[in-house]
Amino acid sequence: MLARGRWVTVLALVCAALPTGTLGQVPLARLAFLSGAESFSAPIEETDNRLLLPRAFHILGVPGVKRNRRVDLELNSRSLVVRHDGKERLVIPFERLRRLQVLKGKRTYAKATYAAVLGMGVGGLLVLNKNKRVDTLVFDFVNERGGEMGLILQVPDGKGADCIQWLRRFGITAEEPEPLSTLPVGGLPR
Amino acid sequence: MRRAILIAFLGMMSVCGAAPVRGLAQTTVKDKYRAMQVDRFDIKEGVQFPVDYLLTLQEEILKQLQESKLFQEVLRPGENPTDSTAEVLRLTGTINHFKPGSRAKRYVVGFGAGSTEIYAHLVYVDRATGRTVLTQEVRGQMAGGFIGGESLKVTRDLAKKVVNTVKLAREMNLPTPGEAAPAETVAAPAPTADRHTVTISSADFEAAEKKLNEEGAASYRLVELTSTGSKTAEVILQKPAASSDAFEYRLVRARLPGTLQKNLNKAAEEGFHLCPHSLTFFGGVMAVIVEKAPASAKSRHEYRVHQAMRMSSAQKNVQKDQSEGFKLAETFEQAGGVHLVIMEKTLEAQGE
Repeated sequence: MLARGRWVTVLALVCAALPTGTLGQVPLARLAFLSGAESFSAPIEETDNRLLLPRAFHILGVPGVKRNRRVDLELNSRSLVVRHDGKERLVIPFERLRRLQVLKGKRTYAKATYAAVLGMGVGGLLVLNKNKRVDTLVFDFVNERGGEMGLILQVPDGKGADCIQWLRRFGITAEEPEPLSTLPVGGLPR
Repeated sequence: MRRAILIAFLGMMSVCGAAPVRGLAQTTVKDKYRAMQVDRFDIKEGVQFPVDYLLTLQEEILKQLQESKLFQEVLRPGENPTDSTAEVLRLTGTINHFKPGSRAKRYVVGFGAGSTEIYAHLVYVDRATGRTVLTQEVRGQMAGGFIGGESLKVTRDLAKKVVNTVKLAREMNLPTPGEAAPAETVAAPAPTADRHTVTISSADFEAAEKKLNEEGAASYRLVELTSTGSKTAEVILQKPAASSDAFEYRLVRARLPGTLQKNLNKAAEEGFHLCPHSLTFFGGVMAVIVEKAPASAKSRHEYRVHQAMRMSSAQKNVQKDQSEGFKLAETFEQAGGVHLVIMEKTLEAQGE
């Protein structure tokens, strides 16, 4: 049985096999972005000392990192750390973390849709129905000057609850926003 | 020696010459405020606006204001300017309408189908005194992009429009200490007051005007107008305590700015005046609400309506009209970046 998120790869391979399709002329190596690149494949590590959520999607709040780029989120006993390209991009001590809100959302595959439409025509739009459920973490914190700031990351579905559990140990309130979001970030409405 | 005397003389002349001019000139928003604080917006009751969008909107406005360099400092709530004496203008607002849209519709159908929309009511407040400086309406729309475009990018469009309204607001003359406060500060609605809501729909303007006049006859006065969709708006009317005055309303509308100016001035000749921040768009029709109140029946107003493609032209129009005694009454950025500005001048009272 194919893992979730892998059927896009199969679709790309079918496209590549088509003699007339544009994708048929593209080397398979260049179609790497269609494969599991959009899925959360790296293992989630939880020990007594830290909770590591690798390859989370960055939406907002990390300086120098663009939206939808991959970041590693680490929650340890003292702070929240966001890493990108092996560098620590943001460290928020728990004293400055005010609140966590968790929303349910979906991600769609814009690049995969584009490639599928090129290869298969209008039928490729079916890829728009392909999406992945995620938890959107909305952190409220204050900077060194006392200014209110925000951080938004997307982690695999269900991992938001793990973050809530972890932060609760350190007295950080987590809540479900009212009204709950009915909208995914960067995706289709449910 | 002679040259030194000449330089000293010229220096004194320039100081003496400049002083009266400076004294006469009115202070504008850009002269007074060196820093701006951007708050997180409120969401109107019943509007389903996700918190992640709210946060993104605040960050986009902060980023674009910083890039525009309109203010020396752009602050977050809780921050103080490095120069403690600097006056801070606080931007806050309310999300009145949110249409989630559909990425698939945007990509497959296009032509505005599936667009994501946000309508916001902006309020500029003096942080030190809490006095409202200006209120405005802005609308953000995301109608397309790569594979229909990300819905979240609507916050970028709204932030861009907010920055454009700030650019125009900076040109606005501030009232001198002796002058009356702007209408919006006087008519701040009390939450417990007796309030009615009238819905205006572009499908039937006459019925909306009739409803407004019925409310006006019962002494209800317009305090707020909020757009609730591309063809609807809500008008909130409030009954002032201890007042039995009747108010008359008219919905002035036009497709072209020239026609709107003509219609506005025609209504002004009959004693009507523009209700603050009642400009809204219903499709391609621009509409404003004018009011005839017993207290203001003696004063007469004159209006100018300008439409400009470029921000610099809109700013020049505002500056020119202000030098002729007009005040900035309304601004609105239409689709395609067209700036609409309504200027108002209070003429001497009739019969005096």
